[in-house]
Formats: sequence, C-alpha cells, structure tokens
Amino acid sequence: MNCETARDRLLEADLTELRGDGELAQHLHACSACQDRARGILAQYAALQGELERAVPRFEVAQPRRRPAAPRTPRWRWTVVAPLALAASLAVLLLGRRRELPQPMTPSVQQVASATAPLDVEVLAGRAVTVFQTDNPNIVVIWSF
Amino acid sequence: MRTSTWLVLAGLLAAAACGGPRLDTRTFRLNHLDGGEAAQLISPYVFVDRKDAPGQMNSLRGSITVRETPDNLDKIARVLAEYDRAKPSVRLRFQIIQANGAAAADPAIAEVEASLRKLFRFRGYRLVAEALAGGMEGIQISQVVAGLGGPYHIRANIFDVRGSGDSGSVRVNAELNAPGATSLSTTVTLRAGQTAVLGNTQLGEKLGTLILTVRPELVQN
Repeated sequence: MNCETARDRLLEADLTELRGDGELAQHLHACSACQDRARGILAQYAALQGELERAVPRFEVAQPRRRPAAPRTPRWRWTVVAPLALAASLAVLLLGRRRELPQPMTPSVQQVASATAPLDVEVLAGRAVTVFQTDNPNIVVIWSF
Repeated sequence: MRTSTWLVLAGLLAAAACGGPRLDTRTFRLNHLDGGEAAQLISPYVFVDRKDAPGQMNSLRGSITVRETPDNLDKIARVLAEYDRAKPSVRLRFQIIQANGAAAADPAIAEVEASLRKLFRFRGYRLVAEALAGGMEGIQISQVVAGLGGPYHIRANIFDVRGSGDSGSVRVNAELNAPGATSLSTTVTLRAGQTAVLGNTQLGEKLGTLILTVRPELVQN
C-alpha cells in the first residue's frame, strides 16, 4: 500500500485500524507521515468525544461503519466522509478554536450566528456555545461552556 | 420658501406640462420615526422613476413631504399611521432552573423540561427561582431573587425592539450571577413569546447545574 492509498483509507477507516489492526496498520507501522495523520485523527476523535460527552451528555458520536474485508478501489466514500467532516466541524466548535469562529463584535464577547434563525447569539469570551433548535418552535436552547 | 417646497412646485409644473398623472403634495408629521426611517418605509409607494410625473419626497425635522398621486398618498398615510408609533415596552420572564435537582417533573417548567430531557442526561430539573421585569428599549434591569443556592442576581439589557405584539422581536442580554458560580451571560435576539434556555453555570457538586430561561413579551403602551 502506498501513501496515497493509505490517506484515502485513513478517511474511512475504523478506529481499530487506526490503532493498529489490518492492512492499513501495516503501512502505518512503516510510514511515519501516515502514522502522524492517523494519530491526529485519533486525537481529534478522542477530544471530540470527550467534549460531546461533557457538554451534551445524550449526544453520541456515530461510529464509522464496518466495511467488508475485500479490497476496494480507492475513492471518496461520502457516506463516511460527510459525517467525519461534520464531526470535525463540531470539534472545531466545541474545542473553541477561536480562529475558526466568527470574529467577535467587541473584544469581550464571541459571536455565533445560528444557521436556522436570526438569533445572533453572543456569549462571554472564552466560552464555546452550541445552539439547539428544539422541536418546540418557541424554545431555543443556548448552551455555553 | 424652503428648498423642498420649490422642488415640489417645480415637479408639479413639470407634470402639468408633460400631461402625466395628477400628483398632490402632502406633509406628514413624524412622531416616533426619524426622516430616514420614514423615507425607507414609504419608498415603495413613491414612484421616483415615473416617466411623466416622478414622485418625490423630502424629510425635515420631524416631518416628511411627499408628492405622489392621491391614491398613493392615502396609502402612505395608512403606512405611517401603522408604523409611526412608540415602540412597545418589553416584559421579561426569567426562570432559574437547577439541573439534577429533582427526579419528579416540575409542572412550573413543564414545557422547558420536555425540551431539556430530549437534549441532556440530567436526572431532573426543578425551578429554584423566578422573576418578572419590564422596561423599554435601551434600559438595564437588575433584580435580586431568593431561592435555593441563592440569592441570584439577574441583570438584563433590552436592545433593539422591533415590531409589536406576537410578531415582534427583541434583542436581550441576560446575565445570571450566583454565589460561588461563574457568571452566565448571553445576548440573543428572540421573538416575542419565544423562550431562550441559557446554560450553564455550576453551583458545585451539591447544587449542580444552573440554567436561566428568559421569555420576552411585547406590550403596547
């Protein structure tokens, strides 16, 4: 397996593969660059899961689906990549990477615009915020932590 | 004679010469809107690009003068009567809810609790304090309320009140401070009647998590 194939596989691999099982793992043992990528994915996944459990206890991060063992042609699997992208976005929000957030209106606040309604939420600096539109149209939950 | 009057007269003469629709001129007193707001509001009724007899408007010190067809002037009068009103006052209802506080459902917070139970894994929720406060746009409200784990200090700023009744909205900053807890402060634009559930601040292991809800209502003066 070459690095190009391995990078494609990294995007859709099970966590166990990233941790050291299977064909991909063999490449990871031999290639430090891909190993770093795998480590990064695992670290982000762990951080995301930790933050989600702490901040939103009932939400769970979807596990990537198990794939058949047969070799496949290298191509994007959007069914897996899309949730990963979503998870990565959530991680950015939850881990409070300020450079990814909209710029604050004033130095003392962070501003997060809701995608679904013009709520235009601001919370204290240093706090991350998640806006939940509930199934009750008259209730919106704004959770900062 | 004022420049605006000259303009209107000139327009009248031009319209008469070109044989366009008959235009009248009317001056409306503005009680609450400023000239710019009024001009923006009535601009769809003033046909400045009408070929034969273009409409015109000029605003000056609490009034706006419009040259348009009599029909359109009547429409403008109705629009201004509807919107040139004092902004409604705002009544804010606050509830302070303790999460992990009770296993049994609390009927006083039934609606909010139903939504929270779908989102979070806390054992239960109970109302520990509530407050009602009112004011106009631009004011700050400060209130201390008693309750388990309190006293609680609620502070609110009312910004940007728009519309009226159930269709209106208000931007509000709500802040909750409790002894030993970090400050919870959130600014949000809400529809009248919409409840914002604002979390969270910690009161320690014994008292758990505090949540503040705020619901605005617009009250016409």
